[in-house]
Amino acid sequence: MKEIICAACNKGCRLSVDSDLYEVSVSGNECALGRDYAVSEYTNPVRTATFNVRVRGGTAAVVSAKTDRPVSLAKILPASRLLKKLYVDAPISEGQVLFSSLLGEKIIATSSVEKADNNE
Amino acid sequence: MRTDVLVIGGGAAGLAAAVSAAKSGADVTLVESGALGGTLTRRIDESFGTQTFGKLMTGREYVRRYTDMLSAYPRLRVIKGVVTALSADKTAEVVNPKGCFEYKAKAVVLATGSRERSVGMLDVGGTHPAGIMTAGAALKAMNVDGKRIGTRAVVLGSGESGVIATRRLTLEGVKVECVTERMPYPAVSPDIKVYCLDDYRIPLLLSAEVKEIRGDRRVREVVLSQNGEEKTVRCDLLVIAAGRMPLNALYGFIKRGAGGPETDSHCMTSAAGFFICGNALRVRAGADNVSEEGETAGRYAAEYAANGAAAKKAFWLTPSGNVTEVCPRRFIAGEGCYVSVRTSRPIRNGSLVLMNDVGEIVARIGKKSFFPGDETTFYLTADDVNRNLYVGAEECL
Repeated sequence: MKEIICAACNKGCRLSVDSDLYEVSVSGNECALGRDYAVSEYTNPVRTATFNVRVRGGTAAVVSAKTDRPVSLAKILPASRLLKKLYVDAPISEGQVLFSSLLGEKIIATSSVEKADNNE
Repeated sequence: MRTDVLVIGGGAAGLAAAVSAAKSGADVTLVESGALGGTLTRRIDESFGTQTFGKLMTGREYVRRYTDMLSAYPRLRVIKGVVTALSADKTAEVVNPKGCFEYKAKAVVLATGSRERSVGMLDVGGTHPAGIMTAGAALKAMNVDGKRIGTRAVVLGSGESGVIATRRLTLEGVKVECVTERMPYPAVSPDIKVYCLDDYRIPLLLSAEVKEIRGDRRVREVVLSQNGEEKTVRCDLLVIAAGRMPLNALYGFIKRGAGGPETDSHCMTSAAGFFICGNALRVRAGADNVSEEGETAGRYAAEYAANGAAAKKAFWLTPSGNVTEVCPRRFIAGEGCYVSVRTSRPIRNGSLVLMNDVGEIVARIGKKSFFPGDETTFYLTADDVNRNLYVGAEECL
């Protein structure tokens, strides 16, 4: 059994979730959104993850990035560890796809980085 | 130089104020000393925009939306510089590398934000070596400068900035040993706590304090005390997230109450023509709330610049009981407005209670949950408020 505070809206209902071999049961929810939230949190929580990705040859050392859809929570820490070993080349524009399949997920930039001027 | 509306500060509040004042037809000058967007530029997490733009986005994307809007108004100028003096006749002295300039405005919007409490303001003993930084400084180092700032960390304070920094540290490969909270409950709303702490199994120690910092040149360990028990945690980084203080003490001509400047529902202070909004007025939760307030301030500042003061009757709202903060404090008669309240303890499914000066309950409004770390907003219509009122909160059964 697991206690979850519902975040589907800001009411803050206290949900309890339990499961047997066949189904997941939810109690304490006041609406259907709460049930869906609890089931998702219990079985496979998903989040949109944000990261910093190192930049080579840019005016900033890192560019901010995110996954293009909510991804399984279990993937986020491994993805962040992988990203520590990678870098992207400047220039980068907001919305650009940095990695098309990092652990199967698309990583897109959420800010722009200009190319550094070599003369400076 | 002359301008209609002078906006001081280009963060979430100032940007919204400048855009809305320009939209109302005023000639606007926005002064910002650093990068436009203020502290939002270091927020790469996706927790902004649902109210303002109807879409969840990162802090950077949120700022970009606003900076894109600025260029649509030819009578809106952005000046890089610092305001070094501001007088009651609305003259501001702006200094930047090009020189010192004087601006004469018809209305002024103060959107100067807040400052984080540093370790020196807390009761923490021991040495203060390298490796102690505020949550904002930690976020800037990681997200803007791309620096690695430690290997094992302890975070003091479970407010929003503390838990956001904790998650970022974790994703940057820093092991966060624990987050400490002075109070017996988390200082952040439950969903954010789940997303930032529980997701990564980071322990939150409630009713716990950092007693002592040990280390000569760099933090080596910290001593925590929880319920009378002491415990030593090895770490090389202590992140201070002990809340923020509004930056508004410098304007002596603005009358202050116990909780800072008291505004009316147009964000105007006691000094006519001076408007204040965002974290400079009081520490807010979430940039969307700040932008909304900035928009109000900008709109009425433009109106003031065009028509001067409009004499309108206003009623006072006074916090009482477990409500610690109500904003705005002056409710302009005949106009509805949003009020935000903070309570001293968590209340689940509570309503806002309006009382008259002998303590009789006039109205109960809404049914929402209150968390001390988060503000709760209610809309009061003109009919709700027709005299001076006390505002409390109670649990409904």
